[in-house]
Amino acid sequence: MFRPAVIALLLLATLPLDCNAYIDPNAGGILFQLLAPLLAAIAGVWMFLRRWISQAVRRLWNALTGRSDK
Amino acid sequence: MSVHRPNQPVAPAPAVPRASMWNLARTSLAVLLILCLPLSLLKQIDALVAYMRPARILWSCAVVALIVAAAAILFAVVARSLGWILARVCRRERADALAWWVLLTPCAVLALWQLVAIVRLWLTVVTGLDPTVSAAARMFALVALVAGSWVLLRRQAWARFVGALDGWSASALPVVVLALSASFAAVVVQPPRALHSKADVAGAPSASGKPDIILITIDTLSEVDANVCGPGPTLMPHLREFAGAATCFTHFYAASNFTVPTTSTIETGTLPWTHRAVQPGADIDDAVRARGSLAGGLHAIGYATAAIGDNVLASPRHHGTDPAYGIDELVPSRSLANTVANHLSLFGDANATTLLAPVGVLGHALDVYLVGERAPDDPKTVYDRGLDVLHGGALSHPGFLWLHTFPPHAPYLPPPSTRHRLLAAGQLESWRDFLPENVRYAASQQPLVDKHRLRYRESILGADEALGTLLSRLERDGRFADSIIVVSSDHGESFEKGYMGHSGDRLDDPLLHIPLVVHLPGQHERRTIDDAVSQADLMPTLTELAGARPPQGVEGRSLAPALHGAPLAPRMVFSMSMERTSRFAPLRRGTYAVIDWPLKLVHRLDDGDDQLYDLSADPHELNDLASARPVDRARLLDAIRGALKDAERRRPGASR
Repeated sequence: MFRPAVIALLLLATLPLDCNAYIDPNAGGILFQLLAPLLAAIAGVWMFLRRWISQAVRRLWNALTGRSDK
Repeated sequence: MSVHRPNQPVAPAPAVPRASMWNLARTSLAVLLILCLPLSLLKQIDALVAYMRPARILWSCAVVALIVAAAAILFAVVARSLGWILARVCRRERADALAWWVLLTPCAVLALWQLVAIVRLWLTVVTGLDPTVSAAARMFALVALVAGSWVLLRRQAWARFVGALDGWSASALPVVVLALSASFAAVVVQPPRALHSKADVAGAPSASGKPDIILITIDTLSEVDANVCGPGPTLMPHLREFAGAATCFTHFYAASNFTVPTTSTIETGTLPWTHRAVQPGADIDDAVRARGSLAGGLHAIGYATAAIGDNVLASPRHHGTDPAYGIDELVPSRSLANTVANHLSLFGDANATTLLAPVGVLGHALDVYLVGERAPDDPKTVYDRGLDVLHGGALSHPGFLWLHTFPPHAPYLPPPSTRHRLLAAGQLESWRDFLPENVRYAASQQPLVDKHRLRYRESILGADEALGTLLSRLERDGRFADSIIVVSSDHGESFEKGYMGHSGDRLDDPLLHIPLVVHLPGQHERRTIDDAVSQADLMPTLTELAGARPPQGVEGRSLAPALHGAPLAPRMVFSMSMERTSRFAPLRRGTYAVIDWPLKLVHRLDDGDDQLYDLSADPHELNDLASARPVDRARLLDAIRGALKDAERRRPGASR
């Protein structure tokens, strides 16, 4: 059932940026090149390691406060 | 994929969350505010910092966040209303699922479109790969996305997806509330210009002896193709006939190669290196605007002022000069992208058109199909509205009326009356048949580009027909004889040397050489001026003709004496392309041209390359004389360097 969405995404990936007359030539500059992967990494880490991070924080909190999970 | 085993209890099918107004609004707000808006900001961050300070970027985001919030609530209202109606005819669960589908499909399409465009842009700039596909494939992608979500709607996966999204939006609620509260506070502290009062539309009675001024700018009109003022056949017979009782300038040059910098030059009389509206989203520098504008100067001496157009980039709202206009309108367009941009331009000071550009890009993808064979914009719409304003009393005497029309700008879709006059039917008939706008092309594509040029020329013929109708009506209504009427353009168009369209870093003659025809009250005979003159001269000329003095810092000169028959002293004319130049950084990039008729030097700051042409002997700029005439090259290069040094000295914040 996800096949149409995957095909659509693949086609979107080849979206021509010059289709619009006035795409700003500064788009894709140095800030974008740094921020885009950084934000993608943060989002990826949050998506895939969310459970592990929250467990680690909870363990640390419990260790600091001396409480334990029931 | 999970498999059900007979000894396991059967899990109940997940239910779609209730499509209440609150749930729908909360979810659309979270998706648009937390996902779509930051993605848009990220993609354009380098462009924005080239002309906006961080504080202004934040304020703009605040204004745009409130616009997005209003759109999100509107989406929710539509979806809820549909759900309410469907609940009367089908099961509530089914009605809820459909309501969520109506809400989430446009949000998901927008978010995915942006996400993929960002990934692609990053890969393009980092790897240099630039894969492209046809407009048909893009449309297929859109349809596949909508169809895919419809398939999901019929499965349990939809309930799980909506449930997860609903849960996420509930947990994100504090962020949304915080963002909206901060945005609201920012807008209260500094309201957008759209909320301020406009200039008085009525002209002052004391100025009743002054002539009306009608400025008509036709977008993307190259004199190389139109040939209004030169010898030989013309594509604009109506304009040439008008020039029979006017002054025709054979060597009039645009200050840059696309709409924003050139129309900003018309408004301020300064060149792009001074007004700094050099990116598509940029407005005129605050300091330059504060010194005065064409409409501001005319309004100060009693003129009522109006601007009516169809290109947002030529609009005073975009330039930031709109407070000087009593009437400032963009007429309706058949293009979805233009319609969105026109409405967002009400918040031009918040750069809403740029910050919400993904909506426009999505609209553009649809436009290619929806617009079909008819041009998205019709000059008659602008001219009819202009005549309404002029004759309906909305603009009193003396009035300054600026009309700007899109055609012959791409897509080159001429009206039926001029179509197929130069290129036979069966090719380049619909928007989707054309190459993308403003692109480099391979030498092998020149025959196809030549066909584009023929359709472009047919569009010029169409624009001339509409102009002829306007001029006839002005004459019939008695406005012609007593008014100053100016017909010109913002920039030209290229179909050669591997580049089709405008903007970019080229400054070839077809991009810069544009028509200028000026009719003065009572003028009955034709006058021709062959000296090279600049677009920056228009503002001081009109200001002087109206009886006012141009503001300080204007770089153009008044052509008023020449219009009355006095000789014009030779003067160098400058043009430039500075799209990658930040207004906050020293002038170290861009391409600059100087015309000391008949010589033209083009100097690229990026790599130091120079090209020298003799425009009278070599009008197509095929023979580079930079090596053959080193003295002329050095003299003109000194002129560019000296002017750049002056411009850098004027830049606010420059070290002196």
